Amino acid sequence: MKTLRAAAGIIVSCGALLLAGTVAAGAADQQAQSPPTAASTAAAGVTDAEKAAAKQIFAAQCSWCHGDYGMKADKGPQLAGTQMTEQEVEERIRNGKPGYMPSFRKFLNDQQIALMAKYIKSLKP
Amino acid sequence: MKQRSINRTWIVCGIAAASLAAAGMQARAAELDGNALLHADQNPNDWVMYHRTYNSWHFSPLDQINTSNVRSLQLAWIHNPGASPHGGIQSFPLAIDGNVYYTIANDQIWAVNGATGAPLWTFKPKINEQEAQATPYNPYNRGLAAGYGNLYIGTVDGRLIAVDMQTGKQVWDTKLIDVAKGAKGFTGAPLVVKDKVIVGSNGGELAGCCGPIFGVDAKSGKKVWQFDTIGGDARSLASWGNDSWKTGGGGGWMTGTYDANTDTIFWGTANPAPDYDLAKRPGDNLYTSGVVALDPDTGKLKSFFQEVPHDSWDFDGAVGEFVMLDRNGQHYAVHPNKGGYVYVYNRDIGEGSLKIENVWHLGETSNFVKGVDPHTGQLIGRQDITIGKHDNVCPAVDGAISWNTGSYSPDTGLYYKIGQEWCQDMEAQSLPKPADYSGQMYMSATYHPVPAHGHSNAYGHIDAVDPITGKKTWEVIYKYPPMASLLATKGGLLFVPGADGMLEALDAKTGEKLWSHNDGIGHDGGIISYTANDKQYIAVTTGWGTYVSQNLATLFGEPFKSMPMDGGTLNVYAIP
Repeated sequence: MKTLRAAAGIIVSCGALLLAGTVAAGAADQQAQSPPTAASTAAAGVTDAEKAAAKQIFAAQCSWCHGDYGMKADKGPQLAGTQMTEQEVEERIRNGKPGYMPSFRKFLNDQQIALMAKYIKSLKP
Repeated sequence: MKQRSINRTWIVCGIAAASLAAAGMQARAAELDGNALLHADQNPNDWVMYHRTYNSWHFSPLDQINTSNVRSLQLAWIHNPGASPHGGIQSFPLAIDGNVYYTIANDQIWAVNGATGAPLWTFKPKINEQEAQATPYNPYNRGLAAGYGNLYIGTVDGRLIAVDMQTGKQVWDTKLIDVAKGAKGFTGAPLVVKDKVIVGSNGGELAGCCGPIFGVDAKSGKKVWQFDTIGGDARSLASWGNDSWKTGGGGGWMTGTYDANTDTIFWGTANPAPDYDLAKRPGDNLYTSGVVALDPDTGKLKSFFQEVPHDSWDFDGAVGEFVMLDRNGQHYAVHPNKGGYVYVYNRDIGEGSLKIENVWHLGETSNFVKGVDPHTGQLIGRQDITIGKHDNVCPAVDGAISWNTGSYSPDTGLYYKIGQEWCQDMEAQSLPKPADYSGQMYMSATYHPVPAHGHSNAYGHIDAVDPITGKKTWEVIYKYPPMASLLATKGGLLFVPGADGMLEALDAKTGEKLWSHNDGIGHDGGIISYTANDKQYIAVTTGWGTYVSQNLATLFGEPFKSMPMDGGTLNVYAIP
């Protein structure tokens, strides 16, 4: 029952950028249990220019569901502090999660997806 | 032997009676043409269109269930339609000849026996997921139209489909929107007017053009006309600087109505894109965030009024009903705008724009304007969004009035309408213009729902008001803003499907709560009343998770944080 409640807590039902296990929403997603990898820790070094570019994409594509540039839970979960790896974040943006979040491969190219994954991994809750 | 003979006689009689009944029902369903729909108010037993009647009252003239006996109201049956992912059930049921029809996600239709809930048939169209997926409204569906023996449904991949009301078999399937490069399908219920089916598209937050509303031949499925809410005529084109209409969104995603006196369709229009970055679309951005009056035979624009010119806040005119009233020789249409102001129009269309008779305010915590001129409908003291600056905007992007409907009772003379009160903290950005019309999301801000200043949390209210003057007779405050439609009845009742799962019946005169029942999950769709075998029923959809209702998890936590958003049921009540 506890697991079910935790899972329900992170259900997202809008066109979301990312459904991830987050500190705020609970760690029901198996992927959220993955230990940090080299890819995820490398993301900390996002430049100011990259951050500005990522926030523009965020405002256009992601804010429909994710609050405050990913810093707060909204219709979608808080992204800051996600325990998904950077590569997993990229895959989630690229492919979506059926029933929860659409694929953004049609609207963002590989470079933009990589930038967004790097930005999201740089967010500190 | 004698007993067997009697039994056989009864069986034969039963089959004959059933056949006759079926034939009769078939005949009545087929007789539901444009003329019959025009006189839907003369048939108290059915609910034949989204608004029940063209006057949009959402009022049931049935009174078997009333203030004297409502405390005995009990659940009669439940129909579980299966999974309705990504937003629960948002549908407005129809009831025709004792059967109930409603939809769930992915445009699936269910037909059930109105007395028992026994399934009759289901229709599940094959949706092109590649085309539908990119819209954030996928896979919502909010209802059906009925006419000429068919049910009509708009799909999230841009088609209008007719289904035989008796068999559930597809009659025709017409592709109306090319969403190959993006997605702007249909989620709202169509409307049958005379011999045509009218349906409006999504698109307010999407980089695309042109937010069309369609008129389709009800029998053949042939597209007869298309009205583009943006970029369709010289006046609209001139109101979009820098060719911004090409990515200007628009649309008409909820169900309008029809005025036979002037032979006019009234339809609300969606907001322009992008949200918030106003410099990208200089001008008024016609015909977004307002009302268009169309010729039902040709789709030609007869008149219009833009409630929110150069919309800075995503305050569509697409939401809500057109409550039609005649008083002292005047003909009114009362139309709520998402921003929380209610516009009272004169339906007698003349030259130029629609005439404003009054504007009154339902919202209680708004700051986006200082007011609206009740004589002209012009916004006073607008507080536009500033790029790069933190803003606190009330109401939030979700509006003070959402898309579900209110209800008007001719017995009390009161219009019952939900207000939802919360704001958003936000920061707008200036973004590069999209390179194409791909229908991608075209927002330009980050935002987060917060309570209004001076309030510990969001809240909701139901106001009982004079629909013309806005004078309030009573108000009930709700801790959790109700998200579903309301139903007033001849029995003196107002039914309120609550966000927390409670279905309540209030005294329509006073607002006093007379009865309630826990449906176990929030309500996010429609509610109707009808008869089957001469018995009155109340039918309400349950199910949770629209874009607006999801805010409640952020604002309140539980019970909404744990509320499932992938299902729901049709719950039907009666006096035993």
